[in-house]
Amino acid sequence: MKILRLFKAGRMRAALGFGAVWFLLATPAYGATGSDDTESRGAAQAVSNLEKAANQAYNQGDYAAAADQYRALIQAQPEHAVAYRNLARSYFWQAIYPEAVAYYDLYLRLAPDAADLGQVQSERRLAASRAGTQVWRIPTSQAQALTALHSALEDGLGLSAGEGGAWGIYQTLLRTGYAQPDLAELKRRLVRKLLNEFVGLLVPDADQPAPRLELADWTLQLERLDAARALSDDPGFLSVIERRTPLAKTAIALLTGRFEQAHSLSLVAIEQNPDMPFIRWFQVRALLELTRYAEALSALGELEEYARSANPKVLEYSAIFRASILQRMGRAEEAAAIYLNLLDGPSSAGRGLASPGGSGVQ
Amino acid sequence: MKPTQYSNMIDPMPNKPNFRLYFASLALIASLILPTLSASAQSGPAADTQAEQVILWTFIAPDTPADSIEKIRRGLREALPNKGARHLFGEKALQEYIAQNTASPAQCLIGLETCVSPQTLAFDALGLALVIHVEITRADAQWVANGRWVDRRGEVAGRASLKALSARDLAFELAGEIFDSTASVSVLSEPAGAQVEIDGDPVGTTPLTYRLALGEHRYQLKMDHFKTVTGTFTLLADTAERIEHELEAQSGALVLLNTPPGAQLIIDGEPRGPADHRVELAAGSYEIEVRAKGFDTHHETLEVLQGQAIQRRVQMDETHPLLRDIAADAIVQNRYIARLSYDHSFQSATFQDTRAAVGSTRFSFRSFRDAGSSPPPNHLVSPNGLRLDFSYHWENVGLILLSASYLSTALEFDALLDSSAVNEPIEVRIERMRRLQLRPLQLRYRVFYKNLAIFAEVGTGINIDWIRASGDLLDAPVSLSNSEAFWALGIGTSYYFTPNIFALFRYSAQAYIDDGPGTEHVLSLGAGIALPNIFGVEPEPPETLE
Repeated sequence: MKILRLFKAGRMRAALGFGAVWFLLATPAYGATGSDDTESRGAAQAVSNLEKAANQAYNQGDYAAAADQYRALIQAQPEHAVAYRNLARSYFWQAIYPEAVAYYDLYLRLAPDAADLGQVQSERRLAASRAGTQVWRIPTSQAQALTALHSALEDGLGLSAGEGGAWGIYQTLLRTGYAQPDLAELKRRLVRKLLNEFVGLLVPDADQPAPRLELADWTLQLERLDAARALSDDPGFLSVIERRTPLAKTAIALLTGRFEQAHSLSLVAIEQNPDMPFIRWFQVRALLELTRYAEALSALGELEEYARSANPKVLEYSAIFRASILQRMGRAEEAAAIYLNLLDGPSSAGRGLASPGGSGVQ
Repeated sequence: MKPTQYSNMIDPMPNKPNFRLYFASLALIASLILPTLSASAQSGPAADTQAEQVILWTFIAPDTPADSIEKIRRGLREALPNKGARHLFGEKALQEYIAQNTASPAQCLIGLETCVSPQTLAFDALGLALVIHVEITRADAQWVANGRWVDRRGEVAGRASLKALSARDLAFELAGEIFDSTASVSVLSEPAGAQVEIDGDPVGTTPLTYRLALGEHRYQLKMDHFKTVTGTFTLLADTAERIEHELEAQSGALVLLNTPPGAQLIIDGEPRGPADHRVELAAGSYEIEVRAKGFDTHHETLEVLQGQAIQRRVQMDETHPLLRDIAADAIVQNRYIARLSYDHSFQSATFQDTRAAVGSTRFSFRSFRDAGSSPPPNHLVSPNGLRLDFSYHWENVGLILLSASYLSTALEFDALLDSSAVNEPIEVRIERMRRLQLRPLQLRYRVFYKNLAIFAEVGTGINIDWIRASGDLLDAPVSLSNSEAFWALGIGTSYYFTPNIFALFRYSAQAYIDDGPGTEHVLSLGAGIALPNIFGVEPEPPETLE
């Protein structure tokens, strides 16, 4: 039997050679994403290291450790076909045949044209015959977590407080050891959901100057981006994440009293997110807190210029802000004029409150 | 309750003598306590419910002497002795007030709360409770004041048009009119920060205090994740209304649809009654279980957010007493199948072409014999026995490599045999029949439903019959035989107890290629065993990977 194994191992080496070539050709995302972005390169390196460690454990006969690492590899790269085959083999040598059959099947599904197809099919048959009556079924814990994840992706939150929501359920699913190709699609859906949720919460209500978010909400927003970053190796998604991150960081810095940092982050956020004009309110507020009133007025002017064409309804709010700044600058007359104009309200339009002399406001 | 300075007024009409006397006395008291009040008025805008109310007055006086506004102000200072309120008369007073105070920037501008109207924000920034706009004119030697007062909502809370002979009288009448038609209301909630709407208009967040027109008002307190509170209050002259609510946290809810009758809901292991009832749940993650008699138990993990009502359609499969959930995958792993069945065959036999040779004498079946003039061409025979077959199966298609059956039956048929020894037919009795059938190759197709495999088989075979005949003219019974080829078509079902062991029922029709023998109908009832790879020739995985 040993001779037979060695013989087959030799065949396997040849097949692996072809398999490796196939893998490199079939998954250009590895190289492409790695060259584009440092973070992606780091992630690809981590995946590569994981695979090396898994192979090493396998070659040393530590099949349980190898299986753990191949599972982790699949969770990181759910479309990495070879990991399924090797996980199946790790199970095979542990005499866990039903799982081996299931993972051979996944490999054959992911790599229907693999060079080692014949060999793997034979291995699968042997594993199936040894499995006898036992058939691998998704464990209840995995099935429950998977159902909950689908449900959360459908109509729940991507991320809720305390690492809940779809993200939390996804982490639970990984902890159950779930390693299947559909993780790739689940990850994509989750990233999309997290980003949509992030952006959706940044849309101010009608006639409101800024989205209604408190510090805890902003922290959660940043966690959404961090979660999306951890899940995604897609350059498009990563670019969006990087672009949106300064928005949340600006708000958090402002709400935690780091006004200088809030101001510098707001500049980046404004530049990278022209579709999120609300962040200018945060910039003005940071400058106000830094007592850089002249700059605050200037930033407010830019905000008003933008609002005049995009959302004139918020101009009255900016007037309040302006009055507040002027008040701090000791320009009480200008501040009073703004307040009086607002307090006169729509019911007295045209009364000319600011008119001089006996006919003016006194 | 905080009574206003008008609490002793019985008649609200401002131009009555007792009203004037009242304000005159108040003015005297005010002059005594004014320094203290002025000092306290230096504080910032009202931030809490106990703070002093600030009221802004604006005046315009076209076509009146230059000092007319100052006269009115003086009169108002006398009429309104700053008790519980600070009055800012005109823009200059406002400027001084602004210079002395620093308004906190509105938190709503950075999304920390919902922005109310800009007018309300201006009220908040200055800590104002009311803004009173007064236009003064002269008509027929009388002073005329057209006033309107605006509350925190930016709404005009009231209007008045008053006349008096002197500016001072006009000021007193104006003060009486306005402060008799508005009153203060404080709204508080626990937790604070609830959005307050009065008469449908958002006016700010709790805690807040401001003045409103007298009369009945509706209010609503709204806060995320808490139940909305609504109510009404009536503002009376000389009173201060206080509204205070402890907000009740909103719970989530779960509604299950499509549950079978009598289904019970279990949440985190605790029975919660009928599954089709709405269940209130606090925010959190729950393991839910729905159990119903005759159905497979449904398990699910649900996350409920505060205030979220979840509707979930539940699909539960009926549990069948016989059909068990053995995965077809488990069955198809067992590719080698052996079946043994009891076969019972029915055929209208003619025994045509059955022959025998005993020494040099040859016998052949001639016909059946009967008492009547025309003997029947055939007789029903129903031999029974065992069938054994071996097959190799892929998932759906299988190959029956060999199928052999041996059947026999006792007969009592009178017949005639031709013999080479005599010219006349010999009368015999057919006593027994034995039948061997070999089906060397048959094709089989099966589909699975739970632990049932429904199959169809088709193939050819060869049938060998032996019939034993005895008669007076025969020294010993003669065994005649014949072989015929046939087509076989069978349908049936296998019921798997386990992926290895099953029972089977089959009906097959075997049509003989020769026209003579009639079609044979065979019913089979048996059992089988399915085995995985028993030859061990499949290759193992490599022990090292590159």
